[in-house]
Amino acid sequence: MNGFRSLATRLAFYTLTPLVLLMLVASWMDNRASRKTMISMAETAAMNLSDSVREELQGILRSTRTGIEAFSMPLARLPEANTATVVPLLQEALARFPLIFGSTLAFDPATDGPEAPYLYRQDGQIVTTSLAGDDYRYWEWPWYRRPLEEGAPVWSAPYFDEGGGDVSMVTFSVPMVAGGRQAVLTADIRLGFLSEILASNLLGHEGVVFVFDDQGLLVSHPVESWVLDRDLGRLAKSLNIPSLAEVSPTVARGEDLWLRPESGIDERIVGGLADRPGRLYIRPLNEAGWGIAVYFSDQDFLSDINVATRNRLLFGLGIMLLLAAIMVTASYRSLQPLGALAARTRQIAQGDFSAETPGLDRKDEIGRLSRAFHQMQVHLEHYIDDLTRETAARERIEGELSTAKQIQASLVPMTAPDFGELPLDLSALLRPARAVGGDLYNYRMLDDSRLFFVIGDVSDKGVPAALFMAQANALLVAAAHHQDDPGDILNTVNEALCEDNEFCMFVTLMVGLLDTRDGSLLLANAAHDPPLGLDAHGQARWLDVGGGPPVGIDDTAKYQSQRYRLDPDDTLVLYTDGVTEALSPDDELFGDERLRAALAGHAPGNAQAVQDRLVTAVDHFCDGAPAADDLTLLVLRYTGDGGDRQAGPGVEAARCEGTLSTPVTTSAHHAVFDRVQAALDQAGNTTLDPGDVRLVVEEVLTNIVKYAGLGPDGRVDVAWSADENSLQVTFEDRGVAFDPLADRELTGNEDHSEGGMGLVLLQSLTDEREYTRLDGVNRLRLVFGST
Amino acid sequence: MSLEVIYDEDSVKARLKLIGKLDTDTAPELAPIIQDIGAAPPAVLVMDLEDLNYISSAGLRCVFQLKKLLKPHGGQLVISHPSPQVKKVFDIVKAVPVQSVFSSTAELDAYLDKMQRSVGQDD
Repeated sequence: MNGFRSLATRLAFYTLTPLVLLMLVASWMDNRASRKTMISMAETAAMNLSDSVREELQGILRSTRTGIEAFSMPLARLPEANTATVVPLLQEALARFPLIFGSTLAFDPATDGPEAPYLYRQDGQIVTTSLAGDDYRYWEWPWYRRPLEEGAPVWSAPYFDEGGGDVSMVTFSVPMVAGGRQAVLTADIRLGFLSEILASNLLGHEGVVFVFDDQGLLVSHPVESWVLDRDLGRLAKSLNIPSLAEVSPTVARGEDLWLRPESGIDERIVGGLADRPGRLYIRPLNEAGWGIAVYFSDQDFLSDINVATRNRLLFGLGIMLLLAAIMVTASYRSLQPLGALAARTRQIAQGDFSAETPGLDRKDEIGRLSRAFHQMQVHLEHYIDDLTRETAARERIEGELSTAKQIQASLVPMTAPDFGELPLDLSALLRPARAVGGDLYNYRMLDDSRLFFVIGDVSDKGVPAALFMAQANALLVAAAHHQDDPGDILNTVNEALCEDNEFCMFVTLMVGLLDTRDGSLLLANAAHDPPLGLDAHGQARWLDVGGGPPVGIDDTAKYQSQRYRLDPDDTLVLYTDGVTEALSPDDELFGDERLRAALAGHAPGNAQAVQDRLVTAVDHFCDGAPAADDLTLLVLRYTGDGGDRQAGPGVEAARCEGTLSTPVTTSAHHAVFDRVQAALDQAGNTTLDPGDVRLVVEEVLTNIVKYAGLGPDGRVDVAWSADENSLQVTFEDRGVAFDPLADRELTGNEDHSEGGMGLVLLQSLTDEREYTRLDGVNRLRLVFGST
Repeated sequence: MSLEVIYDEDSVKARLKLIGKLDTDTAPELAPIIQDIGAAPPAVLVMDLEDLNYISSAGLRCVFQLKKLLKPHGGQLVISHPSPQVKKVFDIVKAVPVQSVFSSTAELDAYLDKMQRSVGQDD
């Protein structure tokens, strides 16, 4: 468990927190309600208490009064009243009324002099004494004078009877005539009994009950020293409750009142022991204007409630804690497999699949998760195994390919050749599109003066092409050992490659032999792209080397060398379709025209410079697009003096040229052919078959009529140029793009369309063909004969 | 220059002689005759091309049409005496089997005799 982040802890927290809060609020409200009830109950109790005390007191006083009044009768009937006759009766009265502390019958001193026998209790005995001593002078005391003056029984104010009983008391005095003598009968009632009554009527554990007289003087109080010493006025000051001083008149009117200031009344101030606030109830006690005050401390009653509340809270909290413990434990035990799963995940992430997944046999959600996890682990293990195996296999293949690439590179001469004093400059490049490729070049000196060279392109790419390339390369090198005519070499290689060529792989080859003594050049072509010749001034021309099909297909094919001659500083550029078919990012082909444009017009410095210029042009054109095909270049520069060569066919004959713009109709070819025929006649050209020319012109124009999609207003621009050996005709139209030279299946059978046949004828009867599409114009350039 | 067509109808050995040029312009002129031949195909159709000095792909189409019409009936199309220009075109597109092109009447006759003999044997 990770503290609060643990699901178990959080579950317990979120469940129990509201419960605890709820419990606290409920306890608080319950406590408040209970307090209210309790205080109300306590107040009622205080009122009841005061009632009972009042009842009790009044009962006592009434009975005392009744008793005394009853005893006054036999006293009054005494024939002679003096101490001797009175004492036995008083003695009887004291015996009959235990509440009476003492009693006297004080005679009027004016008649027979002072005489006042006084009986009182002392140590359980009734003692007789006299109040008639000079020092006491009883006739001056209120208890004696007031009844006589008022002519009615009188309760005295409480007083301390010094010299009498030496206790606090009140006296009930009844005026009477005994034995013809004016006298006052008294009954002293010790105030001590009040304390006894009050002490037995406490409210709460620490309540205070006290009694005060009509003047506010304390008549009874638990603190004895306060009795007859303190009054309500003093208490009002110490309690800081001025209203207390006004209590007496209220009591005198017979009204009761509560004193419960906000801050409560400190119990100690009313003579209690506790230091907690409480409240005071005051009500009248008797007709003399006495009052009783009942004090109780709130706390005395509330402590029980608080204890109950506290106990309930403790009990509730205990249950919550128990609940929390159960929840945390239960959740932890339920969720423990999750922790184990997390640990397993880390193990798996580190590649360790060995450990068991826990909790697979559980029936709950955790069990489902565990089983899904286990399944994932098994799949993952298999997947990683497979991946490891496949990666190993791929790495092995890549390693092999890398070796194959090195081997293939070693098959062709890679280092710059050193031709010593020979007038030769050669530069070559092979750049496979993949690790290995099907392009090849090779060269070697056959003897002191003759250079054998070859460039080729195997169909397909990658490993199959590379294998075929290696075979072709080996056969070429072997053939060059025994034969020196390029055509013968091609024948030999073709026969060898055609054997058991079940996969119909083929290779286009251009084989050459250059005699450095006089610049004479033999070229044999197996369907390879025509080399580009550059003279010393950068004038470019295509060498249209006739030949046979690609090597490896037709074992009956025969190849023948064609003879050329290189002038001093002539450069021969051989290449594969990796150059002409290099793709720009917009899927545009590099093409013959760009190849020619890249090199034409620049006086070639050396072979390397020519190669660099062409490679730069191609790379710039591709602009980072991945090469689709292998790119191979062989640049050969002849720097000799040409030996004793004679002026060759390079001498220009008169050229006859012309142009014609004709509407696109089926019969347009008549007019065009007539004009071209005229040009041929003018040029003295007798080598070309006019029938071939007529046929080709008709086929081309028919094609344009049919496929260019031009309306009746459409026109074709035809331009021609003839000399005594050759004819070049160019057709230009603005119709839809249509390349009549595109690589279609051109076999002559009866299912072939007329157009298809026309194209076969076109291909067969011309010596050079070139289609370009520029700015919406189809341009077809055809050459008859060799230029 | 135009095309002249001579057709010697015969249920066994018909002869179609073409004179002049067979190109895009003139090929339509041959259409009605091709239709006739299709209606009553002969066993052997000899195309005499001795005086046809030019043929283009439009013309080749006519030849293929004829060949196709004869085929379902077991008919044979034979080319007789093609001019060099025409023969060249035939060679390039391999329009007809080499053995059915004859450069002389003697060769053609020998071939036809041989063929008739083999037909006779089948009977």
